[in-house]
Amino acid sequence: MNRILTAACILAMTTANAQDLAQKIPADAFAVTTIQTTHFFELMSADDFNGTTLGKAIIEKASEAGLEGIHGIADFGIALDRTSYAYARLTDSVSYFSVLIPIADVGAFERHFGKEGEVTDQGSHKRIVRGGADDEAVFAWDGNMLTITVANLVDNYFNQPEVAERYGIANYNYYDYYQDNAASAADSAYAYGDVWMEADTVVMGDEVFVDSIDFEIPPPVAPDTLVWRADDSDGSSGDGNPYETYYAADQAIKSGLASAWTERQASSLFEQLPGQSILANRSYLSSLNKEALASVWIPSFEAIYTTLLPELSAFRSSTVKLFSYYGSFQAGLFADTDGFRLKSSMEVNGDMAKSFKRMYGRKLNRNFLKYMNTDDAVGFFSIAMDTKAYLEELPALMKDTYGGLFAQYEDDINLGAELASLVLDEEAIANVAQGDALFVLNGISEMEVPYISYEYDDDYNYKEVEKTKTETIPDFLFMFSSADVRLYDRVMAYVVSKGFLVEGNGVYQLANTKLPFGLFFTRKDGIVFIGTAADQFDAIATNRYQAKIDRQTKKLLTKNKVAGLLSARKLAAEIPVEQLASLDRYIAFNKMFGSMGDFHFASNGIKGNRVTGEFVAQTPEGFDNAVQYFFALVDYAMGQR
Amino acid sequence: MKRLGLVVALPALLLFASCFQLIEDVTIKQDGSGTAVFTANLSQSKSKLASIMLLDSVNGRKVPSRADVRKQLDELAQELEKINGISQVSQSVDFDKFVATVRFSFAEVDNLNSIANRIFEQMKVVPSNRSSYAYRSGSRTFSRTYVHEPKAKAEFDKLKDADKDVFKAASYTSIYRFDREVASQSNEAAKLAASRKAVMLQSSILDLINGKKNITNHIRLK
Repeated sequence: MNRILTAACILAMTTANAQDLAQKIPADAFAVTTIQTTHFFELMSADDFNGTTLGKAIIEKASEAGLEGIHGIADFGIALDRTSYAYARLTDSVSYFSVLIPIADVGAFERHFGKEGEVTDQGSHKRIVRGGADDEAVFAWDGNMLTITVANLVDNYFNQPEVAERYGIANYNYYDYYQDNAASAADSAYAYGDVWMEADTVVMGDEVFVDSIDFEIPPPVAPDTLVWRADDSDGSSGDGNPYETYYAADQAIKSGLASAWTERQASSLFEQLPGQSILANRSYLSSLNKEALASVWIPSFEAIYTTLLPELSAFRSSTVKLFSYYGSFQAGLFADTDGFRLKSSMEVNGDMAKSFKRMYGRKLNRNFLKYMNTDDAVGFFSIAMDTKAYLEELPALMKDTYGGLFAQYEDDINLGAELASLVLDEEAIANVAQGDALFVLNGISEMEVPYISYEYDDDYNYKEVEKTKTETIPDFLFMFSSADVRLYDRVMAYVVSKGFLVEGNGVYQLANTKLPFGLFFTRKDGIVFIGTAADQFDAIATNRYQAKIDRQTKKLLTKNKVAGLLSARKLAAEIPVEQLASLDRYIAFNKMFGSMGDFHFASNGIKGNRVTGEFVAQTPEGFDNAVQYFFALVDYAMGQR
Repeated sequence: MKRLGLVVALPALLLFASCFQLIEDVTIKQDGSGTAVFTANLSQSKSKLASIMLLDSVNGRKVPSRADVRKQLDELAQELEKINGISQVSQSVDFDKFVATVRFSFAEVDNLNSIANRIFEQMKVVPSNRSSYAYRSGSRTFSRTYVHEPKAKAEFDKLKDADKDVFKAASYTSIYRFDREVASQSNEAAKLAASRKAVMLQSSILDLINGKKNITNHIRLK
């Protein structure tokens, strides 16, 4: 029974997915981006989109380009109710990047796309090749989808002698010419005795160059299709070095390969389905979410580095894998009534997960919340780590990460890591700063600050005059947990004795500074406070601090290991009018940011084997959802130009 | 721009300032000798500088200490003393106001060119421009020639935006004083003193870098 049910389910899924372009993506694809156009147009209708500045611009550009009958985004023939994809496929010799876009009305699409004579019919699909030799892009389509394919060759692959030989690539070294000539010059000098004349003839003689090159260095093997330019004197550099010529020939071979491979890859998307599609990849499937506008999935963190920085592999030891303890990475962009939400998560292996759990083992000191007033706070940032665990885990992390990366220094790095662990007294440091901290930006205050300028008399003799200007000073309170009272007391006593600090009522103030604001320190309830507002420090010292914390902030701070928030609306209100000199700018600024929601980000550290984080830009009141708000903002910004 | 001696002495601090004034005040006697005072006034940025000087480095750039700045100015003064024709060199820096001054006497106007050349040598810059000072007692003319240096603009364009902002509100003032009245001068932007014995020219440093303003002036004396 179960089997029948499973079979039925699979059949249902396959039918549902028949048009899903994901089945064209091979299971071993690297970095798949999924764009759910459907969901976008659920949040904002196509008609509404056409009415936005961006929508109008698209229609206008289409009309400028001579496309007729384009009245809206739907008229391009693209299927707005199906998902688009972009993915990369990596091989040892070439990386392919493909975009797959669903087509709803191929007639409409073809009416607007591709000039006559440009389109070639390949049977299973039609094709246009755009771009030059080095950046060729193949646009191919049938009644179901449009694909855009580009390819990048992996240079290192073609640097291997046997590969270069197979394709007739010379890989001529710029310096070989000078070495070869120096060697032959030295030989001839030795044989004929007349050292300088001989050497000059070979190395410096302008006229005999081309001949002697032909004689000394065999030309590269070039395919028949290429025009051989060895006798083209423009191809060699001024001193007769044939490097440029060889290089051009190599490049021609490579562009030929890239072009043929790109076209083959594009065709394969229409001619055959991959043996196993990405839909069979569990990790990828787990990254999908119906509600996401777009999501990105990368199978392994290591692959990012080895793809983007292939040079790194040269440093890497053969036994140690780079960043091997990081697994897949996924991120999704969501837009809902709450706001834009960017969620990301990364898999780590067991050992790493253990380390992370220890490092993020500490919770934020709840007493911090007694010194925060969310009505006043413009923003905050909190972190809860365990300093002792961090310092203890750090050497191992360092060893694993950098030891593997710089194989030749592995021993030194290990030694450094061990030494650090020996020298540092994790316990003592952790007592001073236990690892959790909260920074609260309470506002921005204005302050009149004097400065020197000059006044000139009729004879341009000048004297110094004092003028004042308004400066904006951040008003903040920073707190961190500290268990070591003795050290704090000793440090404070020492700096007071040196005259750097003055003490009053348990509150220390930085003395003799040219800073336009006061800087205060105090310690209470196992918390060290550093901040700018004298009245706040008074209140802290005398237990009169009026705390107020809203539910959202409390949740953000206590449920996460790292959290931050910035209220654009409050910040807009805080920015002094003087800084927005003209009325226009003032109004524009307040319209733009005055109604903007809060931004916050948070990470609750590690759950299971996943490190997760999210960033949220809240939708302010008056907008149905984040997408509509975003386009309203863009419209507004464009209107200001 | 490159003539401004103090830019050499305080380059690191200047980069951290958000606004500064440079003043070049040169007095030329009939025989071609004279005195010069160069002033850099960073006091409009003093809160920022005072905050920054509490740190060791900002954005990967080392923040010079007071001692570093004093030492640089001392070295500059010593360098100037070595130049033929230059005497009575003195310098001062006030960290309350963030104002630094270098003053000296010269035997002939051409000594000012030697200073510029020496500074370029130290900075390992090959000046391609022909900016210079010249005084001819026979024809009673003083010339300050400034040729815009596209290379300086190119270098400036390479700076990060944050560093470029430093120059936005920066100004440059030159004052040339004489013991006789000025008969004529070539730069329309320059102003003549009531006594007709001094010429002042003010410009934004950004305009000089961008070549929008020229401070070249040929002054003929009575």
